[in-house]
Amino acid sequence: MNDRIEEFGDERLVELAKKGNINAFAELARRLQEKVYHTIFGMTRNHQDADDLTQETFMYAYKALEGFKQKSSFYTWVYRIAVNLTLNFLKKKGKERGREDFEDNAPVFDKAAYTALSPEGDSLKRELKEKLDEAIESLPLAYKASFNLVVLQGMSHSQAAEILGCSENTVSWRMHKARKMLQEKLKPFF
Amino acid sequence: MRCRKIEKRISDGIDGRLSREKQAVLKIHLSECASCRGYRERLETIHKQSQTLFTPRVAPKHWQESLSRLRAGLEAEEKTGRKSRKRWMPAIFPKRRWTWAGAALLLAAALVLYFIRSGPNARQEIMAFSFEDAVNGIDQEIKNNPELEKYFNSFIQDSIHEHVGEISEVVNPFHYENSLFLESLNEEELQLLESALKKELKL
Repeated sequence: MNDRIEEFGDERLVELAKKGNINAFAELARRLQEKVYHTIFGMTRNHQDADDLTQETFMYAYKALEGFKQKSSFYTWVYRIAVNLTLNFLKKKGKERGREDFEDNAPVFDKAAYTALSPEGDSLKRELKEKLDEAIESLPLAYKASFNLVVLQGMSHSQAAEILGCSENTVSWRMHKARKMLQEKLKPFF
Repeated sequence: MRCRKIEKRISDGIDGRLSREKQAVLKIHLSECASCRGYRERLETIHKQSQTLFTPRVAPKHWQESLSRLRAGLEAEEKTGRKSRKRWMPAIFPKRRWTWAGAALLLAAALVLYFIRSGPNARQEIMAFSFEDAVNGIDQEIKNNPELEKYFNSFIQDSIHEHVGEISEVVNPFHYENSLFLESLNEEELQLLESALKKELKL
């Protein structure tokens, strides 16, 4: 059964998981955990928080699975939980949130990949990235969530709207406002 | 076309959301307006740089450990959570399940009335974000620009019509799902939502 479970489609796995099949749900989580983690990390920018919230997302999803009416895909449904849990978390944590340096989380990261993402060369570029990092951090939560899904996760406005529970036009508007705010804050670098 | 409108269109263009016609208008404007060309370049730089910021690659071993932790959590939930939920109701009202149905109906009715009749301040308590902050922010942004206000109201009202059905279903384990949507509404739009809900619920 466990060998075959990896070949099952999401819908079949959801059906099995609804009946309490932990292996089926674990397989769903295995397929999505990395993407969910990155989505959350895009907003928390902290490994430990993202890791905890990823776990929380799947636990929440499992507990609420009976209420999942499959109107949307499992993927969208889990993303919606992840984004909302993260937004609630950030709201609670507010401005007290400190940002840990990547080095603090070094054991779980692929060092080579990280180094490749942080070129030592161009100091101006690095400074721009630091400021951009701060500017994104300071965006209103609703804007930050849209920016994260569209720019960092590469979703369409339509996909982001489905996850955020708003219209495409709202996402489009938030993207426009977020970008306008970012470019205002980064003006000295242009 | 005014530069203010073009800015929104530039943003949509970066996300690949423009029709051919709008792309053509944008192209013409950009060929004539250095300021908007500069704006687009800045947004494109921000877009590209942002995509290189937050892509940590976690070692595969971590995902395996993470899945093991989740599995342990799921097994614990199966042992404790599901069983305790199943036993809890009959233990209190073993032969009076109808009492629960009545209580649930009363609670649902109370929640609906509370949601509809209470003001924005009370509503803030069940929302994920500060309603007043959001409304103030929106007011600041649009108060001096009737055109912007009109546009804003137009798509917010579309959102209301899209969401009213969803909100009125009430039976939804993710009550916070609509927080982002509600957060964006001003007083006028909330009133519109309230009247739409009343109509939907025949109150």
